[in-house]
Amino acid sequence: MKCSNSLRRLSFDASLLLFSLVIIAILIAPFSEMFLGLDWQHLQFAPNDLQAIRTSLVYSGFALLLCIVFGTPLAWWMAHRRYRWSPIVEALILLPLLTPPLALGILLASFFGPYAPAGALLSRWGVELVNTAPAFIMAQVYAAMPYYVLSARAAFEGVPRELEEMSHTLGKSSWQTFWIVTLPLARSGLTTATALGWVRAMGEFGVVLIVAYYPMGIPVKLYQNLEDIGLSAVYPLLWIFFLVAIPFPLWIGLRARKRSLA
Amino acid sequence: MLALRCQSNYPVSLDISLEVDGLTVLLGRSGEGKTTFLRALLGLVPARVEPWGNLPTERRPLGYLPQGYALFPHLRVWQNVAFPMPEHSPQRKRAALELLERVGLATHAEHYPAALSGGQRQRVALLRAMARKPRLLLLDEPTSSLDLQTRDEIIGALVEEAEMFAVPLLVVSHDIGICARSQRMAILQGGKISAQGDPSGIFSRPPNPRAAQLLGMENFLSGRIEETLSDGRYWVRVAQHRLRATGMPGFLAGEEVTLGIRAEDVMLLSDGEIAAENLIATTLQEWRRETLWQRFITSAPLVLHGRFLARDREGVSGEGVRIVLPAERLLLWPKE
Repeated sequence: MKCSNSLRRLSFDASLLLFSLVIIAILIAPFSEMFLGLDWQHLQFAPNDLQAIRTSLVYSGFALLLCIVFGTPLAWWMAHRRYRWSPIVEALILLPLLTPPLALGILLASFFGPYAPAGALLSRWGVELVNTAPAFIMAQVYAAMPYYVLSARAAFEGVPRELEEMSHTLGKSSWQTFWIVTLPLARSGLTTATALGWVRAMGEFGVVLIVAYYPMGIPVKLYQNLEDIGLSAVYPLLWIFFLVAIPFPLWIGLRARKRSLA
Repeated sequence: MLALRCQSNYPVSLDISLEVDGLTVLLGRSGEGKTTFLRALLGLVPARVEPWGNLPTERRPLGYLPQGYALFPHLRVWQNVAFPMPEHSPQRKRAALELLERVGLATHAEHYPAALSGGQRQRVALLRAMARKPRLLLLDEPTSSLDLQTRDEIIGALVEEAEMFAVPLLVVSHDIGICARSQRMAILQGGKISAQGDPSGIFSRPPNPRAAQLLGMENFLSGRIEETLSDGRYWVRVAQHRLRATGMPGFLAGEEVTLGIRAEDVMLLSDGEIAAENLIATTLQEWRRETLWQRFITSAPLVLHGRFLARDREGVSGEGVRIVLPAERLLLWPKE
């Protein structure tokens, strides 16, 4: 009896493993082109590829920082304060996610463009939000912030309210409680949020295309290389893109895992 | 003696005046608002509270032990104990270790709470609450998840540790076992305190049938006052019997009342024993032998549950018996 149970269990595990492997294989199958479709003998970068890599890395870093600085308090507030109109706030946060990136880019360009009131006001203070570094960063923030906020909110909601209350009863203020109880306990979820924000910022194409064609980051440069040169100019840059974009989420993911195992 | 007052409308309607001295137990059924009362005192739910009602939670001088103990899972045992101490104090760790040593947990200082047993967690949570030097310690159902033996040990340890730290304890619970060690007790019913004072007084004279039931009384009967004697003693008609019972003074002849008696106060007479009053001849509906107790139930019209510590006496269903309801243990209240 026991033997047949463990056999059944084993066959269940084995079929689940097989199923998962098939799904993963289907998901990553297109990436085989990066090996097969590339002429490894004559590998070379298109002009300004390196410039695009630098632009993407530096500005995505800034965009991520802004997402964390402004998105974290918003996410905490959404997780802790429940009002009757809270669902409306959540729907509003989803709005930039729902909007097709191209349309969001057009909305941003219209709103922050030099002929719109907001754009005119900002340009009077010397901030141009079309085809500039700030415009590039703004586009990435709009693309990445909702992802960051929604995952960070889930992370904060995962912290037992009882522990935060306990901290108050032990004499700690809300601010102290945030730093010594909430943040450490939400760490793993916030790590996921940060990784998600990073890959969204790095990979954003549609919004950036409209608002900041220049300075050119990797996604727009891939498009330009395809148009101007062809596939041979796409894959080398794509390789670099993966090599520079993946280590960061991988590193913080592993770090969070190690801490939670400790 | 520390006087507490609490009025709240949400989530439970409460209007409580309670005096705390030494170990005080507040008894109440589930859902009566015991936890809400503690949370109101702590400032975690909106309520009008005295004292300290005008202070934010973090400045109220109260220690709190919730049901699950709420230890911080990401902090080591000593860090949990040191939590309320000033963050950058160099004495922090030493002070925490000293406290842990006092309860024999110093060897676990570097462990995380997940590695501790239930009893050890409770002690760590108690130390953490005490490290704040509170003026009152609040405990929510400290014995709810414990077996009998551990429960007695834990209560004993709590009492000792509270004496060691010289802090009054307010325990809310539905476990009447804790009252045995308490200096004071109170009963929470319908959002109000229906009785408070010395536990033996409240056990011997519960304020109403519901409180009596909460305190473990099993038998309730309906009757009518026939004659008023002095000092709260009455003759009462219950079915075809005329019984003498004890209650508050002031009932009038003809008044409908509820009577109650604890199962262990229902005396089963052996052959040859005689009794002066409240003697009832009846038959056994059921006889059950349990590990510690013999239990019996008498037949209608007076269905009474009785129990006594196992002795030689054996009974069988249908057997004719004589029982006595001692007048000073047969209590009466206005009909509910």
